[in-house]
Amino acid sequence: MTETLPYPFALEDTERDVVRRIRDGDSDAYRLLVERHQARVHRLVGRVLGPDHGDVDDVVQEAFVKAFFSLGKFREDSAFGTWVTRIAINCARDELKKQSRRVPLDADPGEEAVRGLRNVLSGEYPTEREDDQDGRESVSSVVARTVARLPERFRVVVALKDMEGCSYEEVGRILHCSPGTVKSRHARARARLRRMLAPYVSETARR
Amino acid sequence: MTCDGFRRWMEAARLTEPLPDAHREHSRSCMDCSELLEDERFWRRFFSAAPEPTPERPAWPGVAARIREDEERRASLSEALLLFSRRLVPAFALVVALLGGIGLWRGMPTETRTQAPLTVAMLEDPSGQEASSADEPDAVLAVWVGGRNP
Repeated sequence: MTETLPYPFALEDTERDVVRRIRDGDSDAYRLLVERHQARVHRLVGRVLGPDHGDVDDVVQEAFVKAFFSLGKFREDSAFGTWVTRIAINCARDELKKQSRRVPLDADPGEEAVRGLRNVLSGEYPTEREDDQDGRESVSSVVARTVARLPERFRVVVALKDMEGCSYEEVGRILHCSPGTVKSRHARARARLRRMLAPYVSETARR
Repeated sequence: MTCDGFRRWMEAARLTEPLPDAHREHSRSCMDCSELLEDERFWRRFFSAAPEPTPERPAWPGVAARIREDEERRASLSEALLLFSRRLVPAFALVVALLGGIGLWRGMPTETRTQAPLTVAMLEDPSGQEASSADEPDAVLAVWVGGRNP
């Protein structure tokens, strides 16, 4: 993905050291932080923006640029990852405001996707054939579109909690709200998802 | 195993492996926790099918270019400020002097800062006579002097 580079610092340097070096004027040191966090930030931004959004790379770049120029405000009592995640979510929110589009749930996702999703939800995932790449992609598309139809405040919580595996406390730290608030939004998000998934869920899989 | 303990464990556990004995016992005896476990498994299956967006290009070159651009802009701005500040002191002094002068001028009584009323005052003949025309200085002077010294 990236060319091999001689890092201007040892890999065991902590992020705190890197941040200090950047503050001292060594802007190239920022490369380590960008490369360390890009994949995770990209995944999260992509999930918040939803499928078919072509500007994920641009939003991620904007988030890292903003983070660089705001390093003066970065308090070293939190992790750089948490901090840059918060900035990235805000950038994604700004992008959503600009676009204010609603991701359509395919009117007819296709028989294959419906069968695949039913398999997933009933616990028979992966689909019968391991090489069924098309089937998996159509199921993925239905999942992504379903999540993308959640209101933004719920989608962010679902992306962080269910897709990134953060705890309620971690999500609260990122979003600057209490774990209780996160828990409540998470429960409401799942209730909405459950309603949207109703057509795909067999009676036995439904709670 | 308490319900709280079971739920805390469930939140962090992968749930793809068989339950530890104590947890399995608890889920058998507690209907609420058993339902929560099934629900959590349902959601884990659902989200495991979500696509994983991956970057199409490395972010660093773009980020570095933007940082460089901004640093160059700041450098040229500070150069301009330096150049400006070298001329700032004399320019500032000039402006202060001008403003001060204007302020003084505006603060003066009207009679002393304009010529016309002064001329009129001078043209008034102490003896009650008036000069025929301000354009005839000799006549004005003669009237004025004549008025003083009849």
